[in-house]
Amino acid sequence: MNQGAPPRLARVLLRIVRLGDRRAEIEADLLDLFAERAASRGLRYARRRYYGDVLSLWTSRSARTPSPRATGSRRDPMRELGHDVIYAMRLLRRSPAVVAIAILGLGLAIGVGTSVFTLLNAAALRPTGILDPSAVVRVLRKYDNGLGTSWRYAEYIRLREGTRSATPEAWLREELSFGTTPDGDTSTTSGVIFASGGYLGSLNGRTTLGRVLSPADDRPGADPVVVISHTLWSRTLSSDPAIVGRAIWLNGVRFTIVGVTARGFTGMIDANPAIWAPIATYHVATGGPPLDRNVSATVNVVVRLGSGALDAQARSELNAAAVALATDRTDSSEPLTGVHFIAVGESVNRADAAVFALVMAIVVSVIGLVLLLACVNVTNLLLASAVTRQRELGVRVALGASRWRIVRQLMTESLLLGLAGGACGLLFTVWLVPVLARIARVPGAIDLDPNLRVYLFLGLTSILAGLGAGVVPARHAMRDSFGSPLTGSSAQSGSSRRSRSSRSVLVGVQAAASLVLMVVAALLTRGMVRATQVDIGFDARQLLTVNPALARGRYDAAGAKAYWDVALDRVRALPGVQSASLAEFPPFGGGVKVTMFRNARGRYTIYHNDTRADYFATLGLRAVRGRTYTAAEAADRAPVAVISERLAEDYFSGENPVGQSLDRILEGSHATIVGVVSTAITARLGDLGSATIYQPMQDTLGAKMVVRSSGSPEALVQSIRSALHSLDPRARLAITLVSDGLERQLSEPRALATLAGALACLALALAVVGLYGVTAFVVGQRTQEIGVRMALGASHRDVMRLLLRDSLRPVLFGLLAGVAAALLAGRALAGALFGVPPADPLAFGSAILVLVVAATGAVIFPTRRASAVDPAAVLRQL
Amino acid sequence: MKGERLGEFEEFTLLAVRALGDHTYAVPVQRYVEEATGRNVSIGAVYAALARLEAKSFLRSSMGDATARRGGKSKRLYAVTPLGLRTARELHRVRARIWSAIAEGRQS
Repeated sequence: MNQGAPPRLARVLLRIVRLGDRRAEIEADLLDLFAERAASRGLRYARRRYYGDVLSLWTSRSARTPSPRATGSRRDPMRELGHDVIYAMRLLRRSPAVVAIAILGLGLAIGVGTSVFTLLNAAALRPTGILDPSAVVRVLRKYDNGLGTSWRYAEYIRLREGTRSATPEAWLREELSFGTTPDGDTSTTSGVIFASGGYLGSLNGRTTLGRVLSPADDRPGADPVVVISHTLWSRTLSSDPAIVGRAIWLNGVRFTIVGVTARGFTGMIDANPAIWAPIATYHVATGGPPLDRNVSATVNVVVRLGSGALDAQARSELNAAAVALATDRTDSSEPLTGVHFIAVGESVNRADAAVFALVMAIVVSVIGLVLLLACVNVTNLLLASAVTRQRELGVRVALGASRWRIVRQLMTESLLLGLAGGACGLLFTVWLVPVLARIARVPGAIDLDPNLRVYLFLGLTSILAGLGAGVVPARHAMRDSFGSPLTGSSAQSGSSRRSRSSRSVLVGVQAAASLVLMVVAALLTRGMVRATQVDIGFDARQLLTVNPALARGRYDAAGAKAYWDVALDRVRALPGVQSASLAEFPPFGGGVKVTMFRNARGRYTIYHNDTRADYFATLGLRAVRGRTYTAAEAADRAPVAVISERLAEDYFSGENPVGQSLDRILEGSHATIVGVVSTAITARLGDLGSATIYQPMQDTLGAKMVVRSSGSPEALVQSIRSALHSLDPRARLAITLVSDGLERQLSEPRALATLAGALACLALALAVVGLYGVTAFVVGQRTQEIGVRMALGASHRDVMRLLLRDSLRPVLFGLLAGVAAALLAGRALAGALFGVPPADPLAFGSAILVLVVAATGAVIFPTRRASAVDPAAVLRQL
Repeated sequence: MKGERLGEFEEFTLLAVRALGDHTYAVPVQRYVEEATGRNVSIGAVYAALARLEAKSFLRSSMGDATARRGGKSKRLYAVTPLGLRTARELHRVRARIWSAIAEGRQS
């Protein structure tokens, strides 16, 4: 995606090196080096060296601003802190395995939290970049019983004419094909805001390069110009500093770039565009009639209000203009009663805002829960090691260390852990954010690069997690070291029955949660594999779809039919074309028309598709009963229908549906069923029982052509394009392979399985960490008991068996609860499993096996260490 | 600052600044040292050497004018001070003396 840009991870790393006031200069130096190396030795080399250079900045200290050196005074707090840090590091290095697990656990949790926060931040929290959002308001139309956002363009002109003390600005959004060459790939689309000339100015739009649009750009006949967003510039156009003055093509029409917006400026929050163009160029780019004569296009209106009296005057003028519009209106739509103002960024629909708040609350609490679990686990781990440290702390207290000094030492240790976890989390975030963005289908225009707020979140959670994980062990160690210094025999103090049972519950809950996640991941993975084997009912490999997107403004029904008649003839005459037909919804083309309802079988979905008669032959669908409709029936718009085999089975079990009325399936339909064709999945892969009703196509304006090739379909793309180009040079032909659409369908289960797998690994890792910590702690406290047992004749094996049984019991309870919960989760997921049974024994079996093996592994190490205790040494201590 | 010595990498860096004609910046210096020594040199090492040389008063630096090509970011330009030049020459002389002694030793 960012061809020609330095690697993302390295840029993130660079952003967090301390460079002081030399940052701008050094960053520019690195970019110079990168560009030079990319030009002379290629991109790969340049990227590798960029990494090296960034890392060298981390390690070479004198490149950064020199830090003031600590003075030599004995009670210098900075110096003491330094000692604490060094001491803590030494301690942590002494038990690398425990520390690594703790850091990894914290890192995974912080990473997941930060990734979700990054998406939320980008999608919702990131400000619009408008400097004074309160001064800009949207103008809505007010009815007797509601509000509306859209104005006809003619109405907007009247509003503008009727307002003297402010200038209302208009905008509308379109999705257009976008290219950097005149005849490049037309499948890339971009959101384009067509706005009146003063729009960006009224939002206080700022630019990184060039200028914003001005009213002069918005005159009829002016050169078509655009301003592009910072995101588009940096992602797609590789931050080319000489971009201003270059051309881009929207729907094949040339536009000149005059500016790049400042980073973070998105304009209106509910319209995150990549490109802004003058509204006067709307009809040029879309091929419709000019806006003032185009009745179907509507615009949104915003206005920058003055202050005080000017504000009130503008409001009343706008209101009066709207009321005047209402009295003129002759059509039957609801009468306007005035205008309503809402602040930019405020949701038009209050219910939306409430739903959003709820989603936020859920997400935040899930993040909180994961973090809490991670903290508790690390706490357990630290507790386990704190047991072994009581002696050391006792010595320090005896030698005169103050209580505060000890607490600070312990806090420093846990903070270090937290920060290391945060660094680990950052790496995890860099990997996870694009994965999550793909699953959540975040549009490409949204800037996902972390900003200051994300780093603050990361830093804060790291510190909180570190401190949170450290508090309990610190308190524990304190109590013991003060209670009985130097004796080291206070091991029982922390193991009251209650705290032990609460730890068991915690272990059980974690085992259950990780089992559920692992089962879900296993099911989704099985589903993904199954998805690649789904029988879609036809051969997709040699199918193409051709979509000329006939513009409603330029074609009527007769015009469209004429276009298609010629187009079909031309395409059929091409060598390598086996057959061609028309359908409203070609296979995996993205669109569907469905009827959804509840019947005896629960939720039921029927797909509708209007086709020409030869569509069935083109796709390769067999007539199972009766016949498909004829070309003559299709031309006469005869009331006939063809249904899929699946639908016939569900509604006419055993009976012959041919000759029956469609009324039996869809109430009020008068069509007669003339045939049943083999079932084909053409819309969603997950919908195995694709119940479809085919009817003759009446209006071909929205039709797409489906072509079956006899050889390779790729070879046909160019010849189809040139055959149809002369028919309508302005139509933007989108030619796609049906197999590509199918592949896109497969990418979704793949992404879901990846995420679930990652989460399951996280849960398992956390559970193992927790279990290890708890076991080590509990077993450590039972050393004396073990010694006594062995002195009384218990063998190693007896002790092992006892300890394993006690440690694994909560895991088994968790396992049982987890299986029950996973059965429910599997049922909820059934729609995404492509026919894998929700209680798939393979998924459950493998998840249980993994959990049991991991849990046993986590328990066996501390247990073995404990059972190796020398009974004589223990007895001597009693 | 008298008595300060030059390390090997510092010497290369100092000479590169001189060779590039004074008022050069870190990027050409890095490239020059890399080409002259034939080994990969990280920019961090160059910054470090430049900073040390400046601290020893062998180099002085000033901020250059902003150029449009770097997105308006200005460069830190380095020049060799007379002291730096003297020290480098002295080093070169010492080396030459030793090498010539070696050469004479071989001949005899």
